[in-house]
Amino acid sequence: MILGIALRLALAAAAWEPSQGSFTDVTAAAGLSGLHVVSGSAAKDYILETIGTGVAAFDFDNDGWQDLFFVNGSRLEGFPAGEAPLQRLLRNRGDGTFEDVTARSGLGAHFWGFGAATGDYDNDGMTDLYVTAWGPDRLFRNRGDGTFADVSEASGIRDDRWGASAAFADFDNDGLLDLFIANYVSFDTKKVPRRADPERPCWYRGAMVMCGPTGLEAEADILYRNNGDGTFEDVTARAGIRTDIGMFGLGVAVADYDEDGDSDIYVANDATPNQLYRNRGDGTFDEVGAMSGVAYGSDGTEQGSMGTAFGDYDGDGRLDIVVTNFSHQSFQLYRYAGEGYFEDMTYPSGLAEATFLSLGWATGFFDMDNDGDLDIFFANGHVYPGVDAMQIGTTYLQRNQFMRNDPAPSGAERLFVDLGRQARVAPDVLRSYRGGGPFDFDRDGDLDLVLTVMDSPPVLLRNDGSASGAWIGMRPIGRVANRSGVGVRVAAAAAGRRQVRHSGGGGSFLWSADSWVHFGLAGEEKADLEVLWPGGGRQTFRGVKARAAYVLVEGEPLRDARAMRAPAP
Amino acid sequence: MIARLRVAAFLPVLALALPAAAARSLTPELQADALYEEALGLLSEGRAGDAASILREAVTVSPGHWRSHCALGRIHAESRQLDAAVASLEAAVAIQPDAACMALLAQALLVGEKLDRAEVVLRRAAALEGAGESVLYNFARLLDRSERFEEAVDVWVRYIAVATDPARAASARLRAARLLALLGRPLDAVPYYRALLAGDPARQDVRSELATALMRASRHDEAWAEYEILMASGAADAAALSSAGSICQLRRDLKCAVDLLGRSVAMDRSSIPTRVALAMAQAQSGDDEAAIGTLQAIVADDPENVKAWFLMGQSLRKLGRVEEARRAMERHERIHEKIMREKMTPHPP
Repeated sequence: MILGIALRLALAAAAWEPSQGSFTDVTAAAGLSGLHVVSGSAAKDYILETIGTGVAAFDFDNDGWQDLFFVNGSRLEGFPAGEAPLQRLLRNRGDGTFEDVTARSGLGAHFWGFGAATGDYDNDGMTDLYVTAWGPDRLFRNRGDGTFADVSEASGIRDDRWGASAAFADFDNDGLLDLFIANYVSFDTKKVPRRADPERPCWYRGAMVMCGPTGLEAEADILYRNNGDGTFEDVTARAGIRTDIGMFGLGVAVADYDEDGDSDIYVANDATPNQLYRNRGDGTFDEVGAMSGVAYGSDGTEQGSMGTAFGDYDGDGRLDIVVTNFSHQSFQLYRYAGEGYFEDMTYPSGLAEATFLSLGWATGFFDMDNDGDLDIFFANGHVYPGVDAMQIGTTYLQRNQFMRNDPAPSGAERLFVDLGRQARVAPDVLRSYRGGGPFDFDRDGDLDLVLTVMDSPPVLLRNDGSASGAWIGMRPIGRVANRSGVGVRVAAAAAGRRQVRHSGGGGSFLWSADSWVHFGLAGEEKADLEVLWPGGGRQTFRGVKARAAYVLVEGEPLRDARAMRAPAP
Repeated sequence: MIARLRVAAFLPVLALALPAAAARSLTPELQADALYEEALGLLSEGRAGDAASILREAVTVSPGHWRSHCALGRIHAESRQLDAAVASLEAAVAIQPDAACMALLAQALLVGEKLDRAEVVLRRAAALEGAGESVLYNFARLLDRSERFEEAVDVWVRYIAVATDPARAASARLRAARLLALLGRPLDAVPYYRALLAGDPARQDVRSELATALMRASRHDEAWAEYEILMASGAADAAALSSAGSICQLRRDLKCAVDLLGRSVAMDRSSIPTRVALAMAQAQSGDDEAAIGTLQAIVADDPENVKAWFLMGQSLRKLGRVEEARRAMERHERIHEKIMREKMTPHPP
């Protein structure tokens, strides 16, 4: 009895204190260290071999645990029979380990893949999978029995351009997920010179490197409208997606940044201006990147952009944008100031100096320490294996960056502090990282990270540093809105503080994940939630208990996600 | 005769016991040795003409006596008889690839502007273990003059390692540093700049180059340290102030950035990139009015400056001058579109 009272007193005294988060590399323990991906030659003679491959985290079997799909590449000279690398599906057993179920899933195909997009395009309650490729992209329909059917042909998907990132989102608010694909370069070994081709060499800072993207032909992006009968229609030109001059598309993120009730698209382009497609409300778009202040770097020139994400980092309820770039350009941070205009915060936020030498790919806003504000991660690695010898301060293998969101000394702004320079928050292993993003793979209430690595096994970083912070997690499921809950926006209010999170589609680089809304609540054990569904549906929940995950079904009460089998459609 | 007897005292043991006349009855090699030593003696007395006669006699007696050929070549070279010098020295090195003799030959060929032949000799000499500093110096200079900088810098580095002449070593260090910087190896250049400054800290021109190399290698903290010294000594030129200002900007010290970039522009208004950087720093520090003024002056001088129109649009927008901002951004877009269309051509451009 006395012991019980003492314990309760001790727990009450253990108030929340800010931590900086810490990540443990559990790749091997999770059974992922034997998973090799291929991305061409080690010398990286062609641009095709340099951008790497991605990963998707999605609960393909609806058991409440997010599984992993790793995209695999290839090499130009091909492979002997039986040795070709396959796309890989790994089932989350729920005990911290993953089981390779590729063979029985029907996803074990060999093609040169890059990115993945997940979403329930046919609203049958099972999450489907789209994989971008050099050559025809693939659409796999989830049959619901642990297997997938390749429906690329039957669905009318005909994109055989080199695709990078892709995103499912409902652009016309008809309750069906449409599909946007950021395409990169028109690549043909007959046209593109090999690295160090004596007749057509390509140079970077005095060294011969692989050619591109500048000087190569860009591919136009593509928008497919979901017809609702299992087929898609190419509406790219009709929707106002630019086709007259291609951009080198690599990253895509979708969000309703202007809060007018429809999904807008931001495209991160390599060596060409980034694009912001503002939805007119009917699934057609105006490209407003330059006018909105998000097309260029801080000096008004295009950058080598790779990945991107939306998130409200400054707590004003508006969605801001982060973009990863080539080395010596710094990563961009744009704060949405309202009225269609973004303010460049790259320098004031500290990102300019912290990321000047980094070449970044995957990125995302996430509350890594559950303190109630959005931090940022960057997955870094250069494209030129020979860059170390160039003596320009950067290296091929780089460390990831965890940027903690702090108040600026002036108090008026937010300052991102690179924790790698202060303390060891994650195994500081230099690699050439590429795709990936945050997801709660062990359902313990903090966000973990999975990242792909060029020509190497992926890395799974378990978040172990935010245990004391309260949190709420939600998986949205639409009824009127698309079933995947893409486009949902949730505000959480606790102790006078309001946070807005969204589940927009796409984001990061070569990455996709189930819709998941996560709030860090610091020391607050309850929050009031306001939910805005795409299409206009609203819900309010008062006094929602923290330290719990919920299934958020449109129009229904919140339900505990401990037995998180999704409800039937 | 007296002199010959005296010189004979330096002959090898067998010859030592004999008068010169008797020595002539020895093998041709021994005879040549004796004559060679005799010639050296004459040379030490400043009688180069007599020495040359004896050496000619030596190589007649023994055509393979490379030391005599070499000594004869030296005498010719010193008397500016370059063709004769080259002939004798080439004969010597053909028999024996002696480093000192090759150095003499190369020197003669260089003086005679016979660069191709000089290079062959220098390359052979430089490849020898313990190649002399004159060989390395001449070879580095030859490569440098013919703009084979990659190879030149390697030879300069070898020369610096054996150099005994402080002044020449210093100039070689500066040349090596500059070549390394030119070749895109700024970090490799840094030790040579630093070595020079260690010997002469007042060389602010060298410090300025060092700072530039450090900037190129993205060693901003080290570059800043050098810029601070340059600024304190009043030796910072417009380029140095501009670079230092960009470091301040990166570090979010906008007051410092505006100050240094402004001073740079005041010193040299012709640098458009510095003026653009100043406008950026002014805007970032909240002084959009000043930024717009700077940008308007830029577009007056350079109406197609894509960056200036962009930044002007951003600053005007921040000030709520929406219509002016729209016009500036439209101007930016027109210029940028043109640039993009030129840039997005199939490879090779």
